[in-house]
Amino acid sequence: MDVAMGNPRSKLPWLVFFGGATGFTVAFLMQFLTQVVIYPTVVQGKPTDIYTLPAFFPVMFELTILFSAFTTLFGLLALIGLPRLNHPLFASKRFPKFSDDGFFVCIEARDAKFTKEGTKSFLEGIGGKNIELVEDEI
Amino acid sequence: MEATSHASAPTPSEPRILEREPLVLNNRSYSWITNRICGIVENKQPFLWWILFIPSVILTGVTVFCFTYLISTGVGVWGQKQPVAWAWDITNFVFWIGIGHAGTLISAILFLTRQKWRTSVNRAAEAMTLFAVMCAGLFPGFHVGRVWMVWFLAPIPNANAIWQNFKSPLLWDVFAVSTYFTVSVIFWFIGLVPDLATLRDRCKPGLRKMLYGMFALGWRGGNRHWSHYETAYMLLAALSTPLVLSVHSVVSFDFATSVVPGWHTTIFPPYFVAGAIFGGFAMVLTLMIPARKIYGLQDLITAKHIDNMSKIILLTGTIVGYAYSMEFFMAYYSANKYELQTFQLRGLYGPSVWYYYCMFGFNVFAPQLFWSRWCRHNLWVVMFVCMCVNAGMWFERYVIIVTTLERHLTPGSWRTFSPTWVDIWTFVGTFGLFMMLFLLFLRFLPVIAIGEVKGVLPQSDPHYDPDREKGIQEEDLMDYPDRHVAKPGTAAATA
Repeated sequence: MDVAMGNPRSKLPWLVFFGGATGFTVAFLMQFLTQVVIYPTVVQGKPTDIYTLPAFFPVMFELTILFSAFTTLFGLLALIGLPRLNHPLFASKRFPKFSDDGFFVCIEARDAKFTKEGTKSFLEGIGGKNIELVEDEI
Repeated sequence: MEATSHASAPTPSEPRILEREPLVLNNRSYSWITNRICGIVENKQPFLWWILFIPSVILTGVTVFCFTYLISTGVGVWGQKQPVAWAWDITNFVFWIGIGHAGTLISAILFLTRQKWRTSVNRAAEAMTLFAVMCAGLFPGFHVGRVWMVWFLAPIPNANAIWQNFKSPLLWDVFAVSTYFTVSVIFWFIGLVPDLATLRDRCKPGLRKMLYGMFALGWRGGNRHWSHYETAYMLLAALSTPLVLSVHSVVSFDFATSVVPGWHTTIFPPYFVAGAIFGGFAMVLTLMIPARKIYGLQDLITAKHIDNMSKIILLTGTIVGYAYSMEFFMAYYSANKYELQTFQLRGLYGPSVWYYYCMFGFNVFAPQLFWSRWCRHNLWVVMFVCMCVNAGMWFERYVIIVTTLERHLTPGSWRTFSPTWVDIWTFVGTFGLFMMLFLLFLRFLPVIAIGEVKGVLPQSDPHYDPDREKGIQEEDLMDYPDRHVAKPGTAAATA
């Protein structure tokens, strides 16, 4: 389907990469600044300089994952333009069947080749049933 | 037997295609699946639901009461005294957090390894993860003593100008568990969105429709949606996989980075992770075997699913058994007399030695029944083994934590732990909380991932041929106009 529609590959992985990198940096700075720079905490026989780094790895790992997961969630919502409370398609009587065992093709009016009559006859021509015109503002 | 019935049809030159056991039985259609799973939410709950729900609520109240009593009196109402400063509470914490791991394993690791059978059980297992982590989180929260000071765990500037000790595994644990919970919620929620849309579309207008609609975020199931969605799902699975392995590793660091004999071992992280998956799968089966019976989901959660999960229990149980034995061997081989004595007291002649035998029997011997196919297919046996494992995993944590501390380095301070009624009822009550949350989940959300199960049906395969019962076929046997291999049974093939 993606090839037929000419959809490019989702950009989400890139967003998540930067989200994860942010988490990694935040975790490093948070630990390094508080443990080494602002208030050197001398416990567990560990140095208070850059060599404390190994003890910081677990939290750096966790925050990398945490920030990546949040970026995945919000990045996904941003890319698909959700959440939205309403959509013109919801007005269609047959629409709810999509989430059960049906499917539909939606051609939006902003499509360059869209004409009211032309699109209808095109869909009929390729064997479409239940063609419906949904009018509303997006 | 099945092979003989099909052997007559194909000609010798044709490659034999082995039949794959179907993941959904009885050739169910898309709408049957939708109706059956949404029906659980839309229809009245069976009487049994109430029979389970009411005691669960009461037990939750017991936990609330016990914690209130603890806050108003002090942590002394629990049985721990020096040197046993960690007792039932930390045991329960590790027990519950371990249970959660099966959910993430099913949802993330089995997704990445393309185990399609996961689709029937992943939703419920993920829900179980969240509820188990909630139960787990209560214990360390109250263990700190002054629960209203728990915010000191967060790296927020405070009046003392002292920062958290990030070198401590206990703080790593705070980050690991809270990250785990948050990411599990995100993963679960993203998985739920298309199914919430299904529920939304089936509801009559009203409050329910509004709420389902709100949480479905306006999902329209368009191809662009799905394309981004699947990328997101894959990413979350890839993120959760190392996360789930890290969480119990970090929990094991609480023990392994100390210098206490019996805790200070490098085998702990893999041993804990295997144990967590082991205990978690037992809990998944404990919940799903009754649920599939009560709600008539036998076509979706089939004997094959139970068989697969039993095999995982057998595998991880054996890994755990290996870890127990290796721990003992290393204590001997290290020639460290403290380490050796700890293990002798744990397993041979200590005051809590029966805990060790329970642990070993329940976790290592009981799952060995699963070598037999008959046992994996007899639900009573499966339930019996799962109950053994549920109990055994609690005993394992008790053995690790309490029996070690009871016989610490200084014999003068040795003390045998005994729980108080508050210890016991707080823990029993968390089962009520867990069950209550799970029953509410059954009541309000689709227990099986509707959209994903449809995806593993044979008719979802683009190469599906409804004329033949076989379902998915080799591409070469299909009736493509530009190919010369004729479909068997057609005129060209018989000629």
